[in-house]
Amino acid sequence: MSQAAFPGGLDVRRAAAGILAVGELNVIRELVTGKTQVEVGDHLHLEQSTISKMLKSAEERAGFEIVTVSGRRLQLTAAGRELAIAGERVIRAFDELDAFVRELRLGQTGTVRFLTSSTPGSYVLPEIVGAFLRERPNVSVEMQIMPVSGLWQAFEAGQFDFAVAPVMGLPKELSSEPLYSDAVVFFAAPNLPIASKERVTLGDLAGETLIGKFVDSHWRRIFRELEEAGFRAKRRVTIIPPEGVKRMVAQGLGIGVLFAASIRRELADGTFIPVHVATAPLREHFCIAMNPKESLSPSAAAFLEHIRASISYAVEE
Amino acid sequence: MLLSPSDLQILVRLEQGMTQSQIGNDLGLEQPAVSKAIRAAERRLGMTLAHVDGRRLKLTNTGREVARAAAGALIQVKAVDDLIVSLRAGRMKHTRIVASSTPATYLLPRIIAQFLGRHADAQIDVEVVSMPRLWGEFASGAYDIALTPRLPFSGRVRVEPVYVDPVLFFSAPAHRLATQPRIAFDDLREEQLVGKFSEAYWGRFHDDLRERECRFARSIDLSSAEAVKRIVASGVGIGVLFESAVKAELERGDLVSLRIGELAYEQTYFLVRSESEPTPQAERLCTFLREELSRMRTT
Repeated sequence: MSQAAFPGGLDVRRAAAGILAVGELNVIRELVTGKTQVEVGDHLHLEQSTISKMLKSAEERAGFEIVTVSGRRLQLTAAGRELAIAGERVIRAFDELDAFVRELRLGQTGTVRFLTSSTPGSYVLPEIVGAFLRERPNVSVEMQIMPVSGLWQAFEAGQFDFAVAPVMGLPKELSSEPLYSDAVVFFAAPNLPIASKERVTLGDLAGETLIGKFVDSHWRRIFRELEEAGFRAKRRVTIIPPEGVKRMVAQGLGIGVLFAASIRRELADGTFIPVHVATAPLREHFCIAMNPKESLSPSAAAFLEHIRASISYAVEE
Repeated sequence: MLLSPSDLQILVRLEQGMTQSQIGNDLGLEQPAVSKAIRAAERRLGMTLAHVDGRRLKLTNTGREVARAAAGALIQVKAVDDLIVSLRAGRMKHTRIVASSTPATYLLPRIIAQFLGRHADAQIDVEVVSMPRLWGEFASGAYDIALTPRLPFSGRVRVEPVYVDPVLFFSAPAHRLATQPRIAFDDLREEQLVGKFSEAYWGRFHDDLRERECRFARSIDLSSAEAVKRIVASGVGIGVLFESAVKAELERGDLVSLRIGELAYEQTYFLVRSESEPTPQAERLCTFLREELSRMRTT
């Protein structure tokens, strides 16, 4: 809105706020219903003299008559009636904005935007998001799932409230809190001979093809830990999406390696059999990361509380 | 009211990436007044709207949400300002209609002329706006009525279908196909099709003809209906427009309508008004438009 839009010597500050104040429009729209000045004053908790001054000032700035006096009543002119209709829209828009802000403050509306890596995004958070949205139907959640490799760069650029991701590789300028840890699970199709073994040594494992997401940095570290314990793989097959890993293992091609959260259902229904490898338990720790300069919106804070309450940091075997 | 129009102006400008200094210049405020206004608004709202990042004041995610929600209120404030400017200019009794080109050119003029004949003191402005801009113009609050094909209508508006305009193929009376009662697609392969194909509706129409294997040797794309009629009347090709655009020429015999296979297309026009109380003149005009368009449709 520029000064040029308001001919007639209006000061720029007034133009920024509109030619007429919202309070003045409120008085004008009250008059459309034929109320007396006293009735308008009672309704808006304003002195009659204040109403007169407001209307006079409004008329000076508008440049035309808004009301005429008819006995004890103030009557809107034709121009005043048009202003009253437009003023009604303004008041309603501000009422709606106030209602939105109040809901926003209570965390009952607004949008929660967060980034997450594939395992929490696909297997841990969806049910939690669903439960939160059932509790707060006017809140929107935008959950973007990204490979860990590009996640922090996207976080920096994208105005997200927070991220849920592996602790490893967390940029030092972000603050974080631990959320949960997930066990690395070896699994196989039930018909694979190694699946029938009660305990599998690293030596046994070396003769098998391992299928997993070995390009992600945290998976590379997990694999390095295995190698430090003496493991040498015959062959590694790298597939990025966990569902791709599962489908390949289901073909009987080798042993799958994923986080427990992503394979829990298939282990429970017998689609896959866990392969118990004799090694120190391998785990990855996942955290909530935030920009310490950003303050969370109430809906984002409420959602984080909901996540914390829904996920236990206790180790899930 | 938790936020004043001034607060909203500042928030919207911060969301646009403006610096405090730019906002101050734009709104005629001292630079410190910008951050003071934000801090005062934060205290009233109980939420952080902006934080200092280096030397810049940047909106938080909450601030961005409020800024986006503020846009609707600011549009209404601007509509009041526009109204005041318009009232000052003596256009108090004007009813403003915004319409797309075909209804504005071929449907409204006759109806408005009749209305003005009955209401001598009425003043009506009709503005033709291209389809991509039409809804934004109406939503700005600067118009009382819109007459338009279907758009992504939103907000507090009343929308009613008022007129169905069939698509018509036509040619010059001397054209070789003018006397055929029904034209087969094969008869068209050597013909040129003349229309306004750069407009979205006609572009889709053109694609649909192709999908139906209704192929012409060439298409001539013109930007105005008058140009389409004139070129077809001169004996070049087969024209396609809405019926309302060629009705007068068909009645005069300058052009003849053609029936091509089973092809049948149409466009529905909607009368759109704000849900808010209209001025008495806008109300009368709406009723008149509805009645007249309905009468035109049935005749």
